[in-house]
Formats: sequence, C-alpha cells, structure tokens
Amino acid sequence: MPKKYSSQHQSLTGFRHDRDRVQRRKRLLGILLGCTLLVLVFRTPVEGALATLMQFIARPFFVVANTTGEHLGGYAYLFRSKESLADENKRLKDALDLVAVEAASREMLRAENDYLKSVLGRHSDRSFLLARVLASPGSSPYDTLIIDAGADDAVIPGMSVYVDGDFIIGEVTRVFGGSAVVTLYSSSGNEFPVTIGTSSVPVTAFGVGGGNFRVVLPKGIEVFPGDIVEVPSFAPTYAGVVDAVKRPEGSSLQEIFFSWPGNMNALRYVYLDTKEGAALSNEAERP
Amino acid sequence: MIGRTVYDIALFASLFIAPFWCTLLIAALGIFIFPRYVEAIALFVIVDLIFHAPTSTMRATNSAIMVPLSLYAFLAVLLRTWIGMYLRNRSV
Repeated sequence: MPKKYSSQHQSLTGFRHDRDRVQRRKRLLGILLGCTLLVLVFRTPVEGALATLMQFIARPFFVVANTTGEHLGGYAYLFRSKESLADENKRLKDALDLVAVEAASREMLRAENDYLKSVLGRHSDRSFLLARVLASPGSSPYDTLIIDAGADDAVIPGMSVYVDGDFIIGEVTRVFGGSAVVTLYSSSGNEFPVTIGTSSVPVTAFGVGGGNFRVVLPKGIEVFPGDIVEVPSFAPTYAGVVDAVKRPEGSSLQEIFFSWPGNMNALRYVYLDTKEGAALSNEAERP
Repeated sequence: MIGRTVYDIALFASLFIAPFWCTLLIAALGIFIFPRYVEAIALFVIVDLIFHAPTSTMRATNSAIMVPLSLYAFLAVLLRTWIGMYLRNRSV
C-alpha cells in the first residue's frame, strides 16, 4: 500500500532550518571575509596608505576639539566659588614665585655649564621645533601622541621629543604630511637607559605607561623621592623625577618609581630636536 | 535607524573629545544595545590606523588592539545572547 503523504511525515519547521543554515553560513562567510580583509589591511602596505588617509581626515577634528576645549575651559571659573578661586590664585602665585627663583639659579648654572664645556671644546647647543599636541596619550589605548608637525616640517622618524625643562619623553615613530605619531618611552614594556641616584648609577628603566617608569636596584644604592633621573647624554637631558621608593623587607632589591613632572594628559606643546633629525637624515642618505 | 546614527556620531565624536576609556564604554554599550554593531569594529580599526605606531607594544601583530577587541566582541555577543535568553525566560 503506498504511503500516504501527510503533514505528519513532513517537519513543519523544515524550511526554517534550511533558512537558518543559509543565514549561519552567510554570517560565517562574512566574518571570514572581514578577518581576511583585516589581515590584508594590517599586514600589507595598504595600512600605510589608510593610516595617511585617516590622519588627514582626523587632523582637523583634533584641532577643532582642542580649540573648543581651550575656549570652553576659559569659562570654568563661572562654576567655582570666589573663595576657592582666591585660594587657588594665592597658591599658584606662591608656587610661581618659587619656580621663578629656581629657574633663575638654574639658568645661571646652565650658562656656567655651557661655558665650561665650550672651554673644553664641546658645545651642547640644540635647536628645537615647536609642535602642538593634537591628541594626548589619554585619547588612545597606546602611549602615543599625535603632533601637528610632519614631513612638511622636515620631521623624520627617530627624532627625540622633549617637554619643558629638558625632559625627554619619546621619539617620532611615524610621520605623515602634516602630523606625526610620537611613541613615549614610558610605553609598557619599553626599556630606557637612564642614570639614577647620587652616584648616577646607570640602569634600565621599564616603562609602565602614562609617563611612569619602574627601576629595580640593589638596596645599597641610595635613591630618594625627588631625585632627578637623567638620560646619559652630553646636553642636560632628564627622564623624570623619583616619586616613590619601595624597599620590601626580606628582599635585597628596591623598586624605584619615577615619572615626568606634570600631567602627561594635559600636554599642549612639545619640542623636537631638529639637530638630531638632521643627523639622522644624513645617516639615512649615506650609501 | 536615526537612534543608531546619532549613537554612531556620538561614538566617533568621543574619540576626539573624550578619554579613550569613554569611547570604549560607549562602544561596549553599543554592542549590547544594537544588533550587529560593526561600527565598533570600524572605530577600533580607525584607532589602530591613527594612533598605533610600529614600535608600540604587542609587537606580535601590527594591529595591537584588534586581537583583544575581537575576543571582547565575541564574548559580548555571547553575553548579550545569554542575557536576552534569561530575560525572555523570566518574562514567560
């Protein structure tokens, strides 16, 4: 007897399963295609072209955001009490007076240092290019800055970047037409040679991000909070100021944490060493 | 549609005016609120292209953020599905 066709022999959801299977296959193909595209973008020279395009598009937005932020920041006083403003004014005036006195004595010492070096036949003059910070390290997941000087201003990769007070903070790692990416030395995992302590002991500082560094030394070497950490170079170059010294009991080592003075996320201007840049450029051109 | 467009504008604007953790939070919320929120993926590709330099950390790949982001997006989609199923079961 032939089997009667009835709805009980055919699944009511048969067509939906087929549709779902097709949808899943399409989704999987889409994901695979997306991953392939990403690999192609980031592993080929296409990345450079796309990065240049993104920088070109993003630069005016950064400029507008910075300008607007500065303009609106000028009205912050409207939301503060008169008393708090007066207290902050007094505190800042006192700090300014102290800094002015220290700056005057520092300039005298620097001039004396430069004179003594010149007598011995060495000159430590630098020439700087001022650049505005478009994006601070807080704007990105990386410890990088975007500055508004690029290939058009003779900026080349490898140029050292400084802030006020001869503190070196990083180097240019990527250059575009009108902007550049500066990688900070404090990037997590980065190693940076410095000298520390009263005896100027050469050590390696490890970046921990955000302008902070960590150094491990034997306990016998005296280091105190407030000590200046220097970078071995002919011209005065500083890496940071010691914030804290940790000496765990039972260990023969001490951990020193230092950072740049000032707020890295509030950085507005940096200085690029153009003399070093010229030297790098000559070295690159040499056959 | 308009809501998603406005949210996308806010997401990309936060890249320029807010700290990165704010942008990350907005993108994370977007993955949960909107279905197939690929704009978050596009945002982080753009972040990689603008801010990443070859000598930055995670040298295993030229793109340092896509690996953890992909993992996060995968987990976020799973979590969203589970939360949705839990809420649907509760209401039944």
